[in-house]
Amino acid sequence: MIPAIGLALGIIIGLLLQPAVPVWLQPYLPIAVIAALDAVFGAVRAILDGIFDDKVFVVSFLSNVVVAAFIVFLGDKLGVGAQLSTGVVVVLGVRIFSNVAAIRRHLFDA
Amino acid sequence: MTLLTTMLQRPLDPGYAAAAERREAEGEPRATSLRAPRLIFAMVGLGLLVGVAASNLTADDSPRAQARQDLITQIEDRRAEVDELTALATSLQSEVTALEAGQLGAVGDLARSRDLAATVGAIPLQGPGFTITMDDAPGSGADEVDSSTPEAEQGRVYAKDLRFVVNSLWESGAEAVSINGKRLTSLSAIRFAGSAVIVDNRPLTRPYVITALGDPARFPADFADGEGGTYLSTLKGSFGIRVDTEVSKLLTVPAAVGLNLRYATTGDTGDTEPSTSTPERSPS
Repeated sequence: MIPAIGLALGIIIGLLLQPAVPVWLQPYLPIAVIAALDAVFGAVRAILDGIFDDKVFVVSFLSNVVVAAFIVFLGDKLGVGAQLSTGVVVVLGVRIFSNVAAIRRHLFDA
Repeated sequence: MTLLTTMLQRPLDPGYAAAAERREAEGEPRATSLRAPRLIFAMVGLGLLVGVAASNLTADDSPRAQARQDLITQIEDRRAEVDELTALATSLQSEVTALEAGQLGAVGDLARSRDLAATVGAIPLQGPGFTITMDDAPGSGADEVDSSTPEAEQGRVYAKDLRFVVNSLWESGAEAVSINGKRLTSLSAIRFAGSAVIVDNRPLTRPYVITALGDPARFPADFADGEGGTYLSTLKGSFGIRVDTEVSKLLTVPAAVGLNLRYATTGDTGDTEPSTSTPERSPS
C-alpha cells in the first residue's frame, strides 16, 4: 500500500510542478516510462510470488531506465534511433504482457 | 524462436529468485518488507518520471504554437512597415512629379513628361474603364477549411488566370491596369507562391479586383469579344469561379510604387532631347 501511495505522490508532484525537461532528454522519456513500467510489473509479480526483494527492484528499475535510454541514445547516434526504440518497446512490452498474465493467474486463478 | 521463448517463459528478473534463495539459506523470510525506505524513494522517483513524462509529452505543442504566433506577429509587423513605406514612397513620388512639372517650364516638355509618366505608371490615372472582380468558386478556396481536395483546387483563381486576363486587357487596348489597388507596369510580375497570388512580391487576398482604363467606345467590347472574355466565361462556366464585370465612367488607378531603373540609363546622346530638360531626366 505504501509504495502505491509513493507512486501516486510522485505522479502528482510531477504533474503539478511540470518541470521543464531539456529538449535533448525528451526522446528518452517515453522509453524510460516503459522501462519503469516493466520494473513495476515485475515487482508486483515478485510480490505475488512471495519472492520480492526491494534491492533487486530498485536496481532493476534504475538499470532498466538507464539501459533503455542508453540504447535509444546509441541508436540516435548510429542513425537507427527509431528502429532501436521500437526494439526496446517490443521487448519490454512482451515482458510487461507476460508479467501481467502471471499476475492475473495469481489474482484470479485464471 | 529462442529469444521469444526466453522472453515469454521467464519474464521475471532472475535476481528476485536468486535473492529469495539466498535469504532462505540464511534463515530469513523469502520476501522482504514493502516498507523499506529505498523502495518508497524508488516509487516516488518512478511516479515523478511518469508525471514529468506525461506533462512534458502532452504540453509538447505549446512551444510550436508559440513560435508560429511569433512568426505571424513578425509578418504582420513587417507588412505594416511595408504599407507605411509604400505610402511614403507614393507621397514622395507625387511630390517629385509636382516638382518636375514646376521645373519643366516648356509646355511641350511637360506634356511629354506626363505622357511618359502615365505610360510607365509613375503617376495615378483616372478615366473610363471597367473592373473585373474574380473570386474563388463558392465552396472552394478560402471559403472552406479543407481546400486541398481536387474539386476545391479547381475552383480557385490561379496566378495564371490573372496573368492571362491582364495580358488580354493590354492586348485589347488598356491604358492602365491595377489589381487590388496595385498598379501594373511593364516590370510587374504575377506569380504563384504556394497558394497565394503574388503581384510584385506582395501577396494578394481574394477577391481579385482588376481595374483597367481604356477607350470607353472600343475597349470593353474588344476585351469581351477577345480571348480574355472567352477565358473568363470558361472559368465561370466550367469551374464556377465568380466573375463580375462592371463598366464605369470614372475609375482611378494609383501610381506604381518603387518604380526605378536598375541597369538601364538614359544615356547622354542629346541629339533628340532638348538640352534644357536633360539634367532633370537623367537618373541620379
